[in-house]
Amino acid sequence: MTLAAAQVLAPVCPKCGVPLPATQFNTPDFVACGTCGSRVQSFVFPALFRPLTAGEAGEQVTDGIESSCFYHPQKRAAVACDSCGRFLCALCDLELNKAHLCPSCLESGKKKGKIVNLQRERVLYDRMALVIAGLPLLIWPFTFITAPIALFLVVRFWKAPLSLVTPSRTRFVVAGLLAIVQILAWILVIILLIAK
Amino acid sequence: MARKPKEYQRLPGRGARAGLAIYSRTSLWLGSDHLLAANWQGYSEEYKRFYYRDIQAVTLRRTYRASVISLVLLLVIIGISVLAAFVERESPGAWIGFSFPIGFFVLLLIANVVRGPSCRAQLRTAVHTEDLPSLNRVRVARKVLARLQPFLVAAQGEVTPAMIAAGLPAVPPALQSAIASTTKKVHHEKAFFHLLAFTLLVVLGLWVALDYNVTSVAVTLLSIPIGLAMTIATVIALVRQHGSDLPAALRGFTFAAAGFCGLMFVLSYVQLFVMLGLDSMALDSMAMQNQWQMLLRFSRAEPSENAFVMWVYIIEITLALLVGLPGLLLALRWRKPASGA
Repeated sequence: MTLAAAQVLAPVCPKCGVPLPATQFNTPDFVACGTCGSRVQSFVFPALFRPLTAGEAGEQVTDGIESSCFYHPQKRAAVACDSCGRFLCALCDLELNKAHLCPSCLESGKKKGKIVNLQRERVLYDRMALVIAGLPLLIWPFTFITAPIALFLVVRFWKAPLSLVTPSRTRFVVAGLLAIVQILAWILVIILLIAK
Repeated sequence: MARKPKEYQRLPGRGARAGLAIYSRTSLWLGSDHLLAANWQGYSEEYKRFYYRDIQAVTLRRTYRASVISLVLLLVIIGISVLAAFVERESPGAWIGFSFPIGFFVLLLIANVVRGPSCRAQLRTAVHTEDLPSLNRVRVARKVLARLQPFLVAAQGEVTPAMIAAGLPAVPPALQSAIASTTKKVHHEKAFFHLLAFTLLVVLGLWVALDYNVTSVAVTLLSIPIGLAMTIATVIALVRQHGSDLPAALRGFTFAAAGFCGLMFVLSYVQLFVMLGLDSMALDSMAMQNQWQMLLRFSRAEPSENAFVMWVYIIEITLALLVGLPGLLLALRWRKPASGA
């Protein structure tokens, strides 16, 4: 195996990029890299030793009565899409969350946010509302503007998807309460000023 | 109503991902069938999933980050303490004001030491390698791996000695042709700028020793271009050693030389202010209103008449030689086969 080929497969030293020998797999403590001297410790798992297999391209249709793929009429259908029911060949079959999907349904699910596993980013409106409600308290005259904005964010985005890892509306509740208190305080100030 | 079970469990560790983001935090979360890396940047979160069945290896590399942080904090504590001692002599009771910053930095130092040695972690799958910034301490990384282990064993099974002995699977020919573009390149560094930087550092140390014994404007003046040239050579050496095959010891001493430059830059200003403070006529004098007069004042300062000035000289000479001489020897040893070939 060439050095470059080994680099694809073997864990490499993070410093110099040279593949680590098998004697440096799963050592109890750090060991020196033979090339750059950095102290490394590599934990390997069975997936590293799994044979590399080529992806399936789909079988050709041999006679006119076989079901063919919706996207590749020359290829035999292997499975139906669990979302839209279209027939799919081995190449078009996208397995996700134990379901078989076609490329269109996968793209559609990703765009509409229905497939959680494909979501790469979320905007955290609850944090935004909390910061807008809380931070301006340091310079309290700004709360005249920021309190209504914070309350608007709480109401408008109450049902928006929350953080994947901390899906709690606590920040929304705190931001909402802070904003309401600030707005009430300003109303009181205005009433007192008018009364004077 | 029954509470919905949490989908993810948080793993120890928190780090920042390098990049253009002003503020970002990365953390790892255990899912039922995958590891989730959540990167928080202001008001949005980004997610990366690593399925347990796909994780091939996790590699840790020891770094000097924790040691450098400890050293910097220690130097800051010493610097503030020295300043406090001198100010206390002039204004008794002033140490109370200095006790707060000293206490703050001492607490930071203790926290850094307690957290243990630092490291960098990488997770490897069949198609890519990902940095895990949240695993930036050895203790934390080992805890995370211990928690991850049962999930990986459930998804993949255990690694046996027979697997390791059998070696890695063969690479299909079609894949081998695409490998070259992804291979990490390490360049050979001849260490010329390292040699120059350490030579100038040793020269600077000897020159400052001469300045210590001789009160001369010319000697003080010449130490400036030597120091400047040494700083420039050090910066170039630092840039060039990145991604090179230089040994860790030589790289470490180059960083130490850079630290020396930073320390002397700060100390020189502190020395100037101390001298101005002690010289009650200086601020009123017309003689102190230009750089040349300030240089004259600097050069006339007798180390023996001022303890702070004496200590700055001693620190500068000692550190310059302690860092410069070993660095010079390492650079010469590295260059020797290249020049002999």
